[in-house]
Amino acid sequence: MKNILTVKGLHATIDGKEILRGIDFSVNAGEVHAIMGPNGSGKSTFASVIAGSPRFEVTAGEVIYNGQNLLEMNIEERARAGIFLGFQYPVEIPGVSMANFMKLAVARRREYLGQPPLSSGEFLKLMREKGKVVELDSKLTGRAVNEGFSGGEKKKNEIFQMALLEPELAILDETDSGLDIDALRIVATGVNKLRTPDNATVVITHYQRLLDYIVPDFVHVLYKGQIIMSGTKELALKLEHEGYDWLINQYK
Amino acid sequence: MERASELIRIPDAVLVAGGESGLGRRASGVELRATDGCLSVTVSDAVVEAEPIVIAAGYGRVEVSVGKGAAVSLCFATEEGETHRTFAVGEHGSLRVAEVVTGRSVRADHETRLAAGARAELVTVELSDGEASLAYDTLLEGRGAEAVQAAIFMAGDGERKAVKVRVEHRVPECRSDVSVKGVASGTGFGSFDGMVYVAQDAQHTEAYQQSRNLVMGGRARILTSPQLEIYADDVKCSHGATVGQMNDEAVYYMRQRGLSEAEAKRLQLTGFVNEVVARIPEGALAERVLEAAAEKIVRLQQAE
Repeated sequence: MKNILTVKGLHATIDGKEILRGIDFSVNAGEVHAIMGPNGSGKSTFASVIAGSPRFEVTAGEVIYNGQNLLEMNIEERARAGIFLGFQYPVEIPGVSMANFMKLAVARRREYLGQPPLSSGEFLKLMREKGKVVELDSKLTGRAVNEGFSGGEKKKNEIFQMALLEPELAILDETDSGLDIDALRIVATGVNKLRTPDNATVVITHYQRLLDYIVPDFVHVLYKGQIIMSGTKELALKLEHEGYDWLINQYK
Repeated sequence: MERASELIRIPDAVLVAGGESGLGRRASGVELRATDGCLSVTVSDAVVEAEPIVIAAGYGRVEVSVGKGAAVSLCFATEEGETHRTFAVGEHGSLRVAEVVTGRSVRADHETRLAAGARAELVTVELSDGEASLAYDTLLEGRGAEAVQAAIFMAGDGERKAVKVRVEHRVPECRSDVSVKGVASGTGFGSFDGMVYVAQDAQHTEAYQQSRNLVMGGRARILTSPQLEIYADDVKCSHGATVGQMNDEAVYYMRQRGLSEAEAKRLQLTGFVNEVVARIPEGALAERVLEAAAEKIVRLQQAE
């Protein structure tokens, strides 16, 4: 099976404070991984470091993405190469329309893949088609990026962008937070529709609830910047019923 | 009588909405007269002119009078030198003005007087290449009058831009909403002086004033001074000012989708400017202004 991402001994800090303390993690094509863990365990930091956020400094370890040294690539190089981060808090960008923003983003991704540029008509058609994946109101694509979107619309909009960019590795950072059950179902169904044997998804979540819809092949528990246990979807169920304490006590 | 085309000079760069000669086909009741560099526009009572009128040439003096219950939209080019404009809107009349400022050394002042129930909306896009000093005085003189103003100035390397806005609420139950944006880059300098004056009698005034500014690089400066002077005690007034850098979170978000840092910043800056440009009532003109603004934005980025 083709390896997409391999992380070895990853350490990262913010303002000198160590958040990730030696993460080992590997994702193959076609897999869905869930990363769970209590608040402050480093889940979002891990996602941000893979995306290349300038807020964090990698102090040790290596990250190989499709055979390339990911840590040497800047944010946009990673994105163009197929890494997508679904933001926990999608950013509002006043005055910038979704269509203009995504037209540029899709153009850069296609350039990277060696695909010919899309005409305006083809792009509009693509937007309509991909909007259906998450039942996105077509009016939203004419509006400014995330501005005045409801919580659910913002998360749907993340998956819509994912559908347009067709990433090889999608990391969804607490995509389920703040969603009612209908929006959760739509977002999760969208993610499932985008699954192929060639791509992989990493779902970061607090709750087992999302994993009823997006069924993971592997579940990892992050605690104090380390993965302290990995298992299958049964682990998530156990955590749902028994909490994290038994695991943390074992770890101590 | 003078011919229409002599009244209003139309350079190639700007078109008159609604037809090649425009003026000839104005609804009766809209009169435009030009003498000695002075233009007067008179809209008779109850005349509603749907098509925006684009006045391309820079007239040193412009006097606009909108009759009772009348409505008109005007687009002006503010160019080199000094310009004085006065706008008077009669009871329940409506005036929309869009102004595009170009040139190397520009000074323009505007006085707007609004009668009861009258409404004026002023939109200014400042794209000049040197010094510009723009002043706006708005007098709300009749109950229920409303003044809305949106402006953007852009101070590139070595440029100085100053915008001064004074809104006077003289009578009760009027509303004003002023939003002035600024961008400065390189060694550019910009300033905003705002004053909302609410007279003692002007109860139930609603007055908002906002100054939002983007500073690019370490040498550019923007000074903003929004002020309120309120003598009435039953009013709703607010003012605010921000001077900030480009939103790093937004730049990160866009880069995570594959845009380069320069593209992300350009898109963000364009968005900041477009919010004002989009309010120009004449579509073709708005599009041209957008193109001119895009060129200015490239220069601002280069100077950062």
